[in-house]
Amino acid sequence: MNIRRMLFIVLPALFILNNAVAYFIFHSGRSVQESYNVMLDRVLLYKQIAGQTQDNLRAMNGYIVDRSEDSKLAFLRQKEGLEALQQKLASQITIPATDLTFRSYTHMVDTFMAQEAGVIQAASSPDTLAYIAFYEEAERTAAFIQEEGYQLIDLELSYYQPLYRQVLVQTEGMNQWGVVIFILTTLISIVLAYRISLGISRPIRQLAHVAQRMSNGDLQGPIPQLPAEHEFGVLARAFEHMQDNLKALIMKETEGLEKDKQLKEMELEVLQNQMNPHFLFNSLNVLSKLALLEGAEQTSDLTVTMSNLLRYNLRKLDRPVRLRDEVEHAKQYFTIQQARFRNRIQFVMEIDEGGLDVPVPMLTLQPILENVFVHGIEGMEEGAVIQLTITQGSGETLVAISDNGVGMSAEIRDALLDVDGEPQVSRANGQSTGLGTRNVFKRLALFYGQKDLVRIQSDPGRGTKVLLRLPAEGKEVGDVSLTDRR
Amino acid sequence: MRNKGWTLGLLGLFLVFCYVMLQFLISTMHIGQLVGQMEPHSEAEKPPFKHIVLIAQELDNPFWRTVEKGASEAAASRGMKIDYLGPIRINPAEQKSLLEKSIAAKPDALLIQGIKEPQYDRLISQAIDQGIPVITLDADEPESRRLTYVGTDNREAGRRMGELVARAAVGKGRIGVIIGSEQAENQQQRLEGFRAAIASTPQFEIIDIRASNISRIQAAKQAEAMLKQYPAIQTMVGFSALDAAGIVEGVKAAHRDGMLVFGFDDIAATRQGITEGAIKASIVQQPHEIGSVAVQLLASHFLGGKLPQQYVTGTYILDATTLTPASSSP
Repeated sequence: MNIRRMLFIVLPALFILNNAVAYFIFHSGRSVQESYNVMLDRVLLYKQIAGQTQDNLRAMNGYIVDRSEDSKLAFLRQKEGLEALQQKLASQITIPATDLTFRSYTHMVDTFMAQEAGVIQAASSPDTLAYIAFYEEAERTAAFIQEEGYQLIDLELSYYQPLYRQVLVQTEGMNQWGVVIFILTTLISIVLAYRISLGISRPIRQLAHVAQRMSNGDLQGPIPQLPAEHEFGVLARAFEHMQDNLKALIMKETEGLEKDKQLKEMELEVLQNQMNPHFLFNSLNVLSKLALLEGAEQTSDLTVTMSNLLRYNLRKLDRPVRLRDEVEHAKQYFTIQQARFRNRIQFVMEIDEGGLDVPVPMLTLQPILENVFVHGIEGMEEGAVIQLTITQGSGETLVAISDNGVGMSAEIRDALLDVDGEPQVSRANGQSTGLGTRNVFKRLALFYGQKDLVRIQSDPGRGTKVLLRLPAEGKEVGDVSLTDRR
Repeated sequence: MRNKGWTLGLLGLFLVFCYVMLQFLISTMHIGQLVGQMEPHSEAEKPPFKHIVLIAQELDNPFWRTVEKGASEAAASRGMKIDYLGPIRINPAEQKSLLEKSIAAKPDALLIQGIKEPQYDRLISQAIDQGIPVITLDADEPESRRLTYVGTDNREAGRRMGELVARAAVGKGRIGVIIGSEQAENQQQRLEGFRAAIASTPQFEIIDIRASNISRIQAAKQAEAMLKQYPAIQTMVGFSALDAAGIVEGVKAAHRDGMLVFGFDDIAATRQGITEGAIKASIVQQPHEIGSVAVQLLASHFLGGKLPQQYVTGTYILDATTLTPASSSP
């Protein structure tokens, strides 16, 4: 059941129940008390009338004896008192058991009043002692009234006695049941309160537990199943939805990563395929031989260099090589470029031989040099200097490729270094903005499992310097172990 | 299931609660009923009734109780109520006082026993003056202004007893008599009738007469004393209801065998005596009829009917042969 509805029903029900019990106890107690009062009122009235009759008699006696105005007033006052009581008596409702006695009693009071009137009348007559007989009668009647009054009280009491005994027994029983009822309502209240609080706290505890597991990365925690109309049902379902969404999101992310990786492999493949290698390689060999036959030795040499360059490029890309091979390859590449640019460029190399044995991914240096030629110094008429410096650091080899070309903006530099970002769109002149360079950086990061290996120092108009840190350990190059060569 | 358990538990608790609540309500209702009984009903519900005062000779005397029963039964159907009064022990002075008190209470009618006393006569006159009809029962007050008398013809009853004794006690003619009260008119009349009956049979004579004061203990005591004083007594007669049973005790105490005992009225002790053979026979009056007839006469008086001067109820003889009594009128 809905917690709200439950509270709405249970609380007023308990309240009404308790009040009803209290009311019944109060009500029956009150009716018992009322009946007591009714009886007591009557009994007191009988007693009062008997007393008043006696007082009347005394006052009458006093008046007859001294016949003063004072005593007459006193007598009349008493008489009025008795008349008032007589009227009250006449309006009494009696119980059946005292019907006859009550009637007798009423009549006796009437008789007494009549006799009293007779006494007063006789007392005022000339025969001064005529009242005596009337007075004696009135006296006797007063005695009878008293006697009858006692009998009435006796009858009333003996009529009530068994009833009261039963009432007491029933009241006792009622009190006992009342106590049991109070205990039971308390018990029911406690049970209901416990049930309702459990209905609130249990789902909260379960949800909190699931939330805890979720925050720890476990998305398989069971969501508590609650009925649709339950307030926490909404919360639980929202929670479940959230969990499902999270799961879906994570799956999507994993798929995206996988796709990225494939894409990168494809990029490499495409890069390689751009070379259109075999045709060029064969053609170059023919050209070399032809140039030799025609006595153009320089052309022949250049063609051989070109061929070597191509051969190097045709090697399997995913196999690492030593830095020495890369340097050799870079020299040959430079030779080709030297032939093209003649004296406009100067290639300076400072090589620390000890650092040349570190393993590197293939085609690491060439794309960077290519970038230097394409972007860095292309517009320079003369005096362009490209420097390749390799120094051996502790546990790593430092490779620096610097030029004195146009340099690059911080924006481009950051774009190049942003390995994870999307490739930049081409610049205005249509050539790729260092797609190869970025590719190198990415491959280095993947190869060494580190991201902070590349730094670029560049000032627009003053040149660019690319610094590579190549860690000496961790990768084997071909069949030669690094330790052997140390 | 957990919820099911909860529901069942709550339901059980609720049922127990309902049971207790029911008990509680029943108690409350009982109290309500009892209180309702205590509280007087309004005057309008009560039909008007006539208040008849019946003053007995003795309050718990079986004879008078039977009179009251007959009167009450007759009164119930006629809109009358019987107010039964009487002295605890037989006491003519208190009887008189009760009459006086009853007159002060102005009932609709008075049923009293005659005591044959001028002051009693005057009280009866006073009642008649106040418009209260008076009927005498059991014993008459012939000189007073009572409306009528209902009861046994005591002289006739005494005569019947005499005849009974004369028939039954042949050869045992010396008789001791216990009477209820020497003042009571009815006792005197019974004795007169008895005397008249045995006067005609020569062998019978009354040796002694003593009063039991309508007390079984007194009857026993007097009987024993009488038998000690007059060992010749062969037959004992009791003229009031308790005398026969008292005489039987007295006879036993005096160690006298072969004594014939006769009594009046039909009380349990007398019946037992007859069954055991200790009592020969009893002349039984009809108190129930007396009460009933008195009320019937009153009813006709209230309707303006003329009443007879007296109404005599019959007697019958209760002895071993008629223990299941068959009434016979005199």
